[in-house]
Amino acid sequence: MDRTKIKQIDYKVPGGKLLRIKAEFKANKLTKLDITGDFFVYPEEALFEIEKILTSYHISELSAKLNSYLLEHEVKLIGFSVDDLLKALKKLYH
Amino acid sequence: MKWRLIPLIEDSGAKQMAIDEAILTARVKHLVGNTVRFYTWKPACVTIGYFQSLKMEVDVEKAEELGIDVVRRYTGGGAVFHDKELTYSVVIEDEIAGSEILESYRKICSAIVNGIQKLGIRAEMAGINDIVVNNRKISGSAQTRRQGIVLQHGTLLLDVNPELMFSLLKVPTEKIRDKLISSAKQRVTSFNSELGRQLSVEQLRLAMIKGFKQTFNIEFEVSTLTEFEKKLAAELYKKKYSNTKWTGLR
Repeated sequence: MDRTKIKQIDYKVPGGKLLRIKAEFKANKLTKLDITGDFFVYPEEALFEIEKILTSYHISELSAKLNSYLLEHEVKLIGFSVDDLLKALKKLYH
Repeated sequence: MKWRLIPLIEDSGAKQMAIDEAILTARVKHLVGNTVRFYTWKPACVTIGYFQSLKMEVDVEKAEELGIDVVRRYTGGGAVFHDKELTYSVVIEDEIAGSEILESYRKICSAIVNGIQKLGIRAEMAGINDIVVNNRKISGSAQTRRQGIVLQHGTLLLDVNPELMFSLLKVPTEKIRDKLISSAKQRVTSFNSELGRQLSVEQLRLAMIKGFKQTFNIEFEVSTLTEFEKKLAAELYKKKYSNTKWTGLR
């Protein structure tokens, strides 16, 4: 039995850009995430790593993991923040 | 200080994006100096931001049917329908533009605002990357950075056609398409509409050149693309911007 579930949400950041997130859950576990939208990430390649972090850790650990990645690699998010991303992600779980 | 000014180029979206990236690479390699150029789109084109999903943002079949190109940009930001507009592109060191991203948007956009004011229109920056006239958008910009060099390009709307634009961009439901069209009419303006007359591409370009000169306290030296840039642009056009793999990346 295929227990893969695809969920998709749009989250408009107040005063910012639009996050469009497509998530794949297998047995209720988040296995794949595609974040698209009209935002900016510098350097751009960092978004792949952000998507990877989001699927690799428990939601309770994500804020610390993401913030430390952004700081260490001097990644700048324009039009959304880590908190916005986590708010959007929490919506996906509900 | 002298910057290079490339003469106006009219070409397809894929070629324009390839040229912008080629200039950025040449600047990173110190093969060229700080550069400004202006261009127009032939045929009309929808560009999507680097992070956008092609399928979610653009009605590709409709674009094909209307002979309108669809290209993914190297820069982030939103989907834009480029038709009756002049586009500017600037490639400069971040020491000049500002090492902080928002600061550099403001600095480069202030050259555009100054240029717009030369035409007798009062414009100001709004949000992260927009320029507005009486709260209605007239220009939007996007930038990327590589090794201390900033590439910023942006639209300067000569005329807008929200009906055509929203026939190409995907909307959440058909029901709200009309609402989006009327709201775009409220939120977006153009040079022709603000001036109540037809402004030519050249008049707009000259005003923007003045804006850059004044804001950055520079002179321009008119010069064409180098052989390196031409060759790289041709390669990027072929392998990247006209390639469906790149356009459908996300």
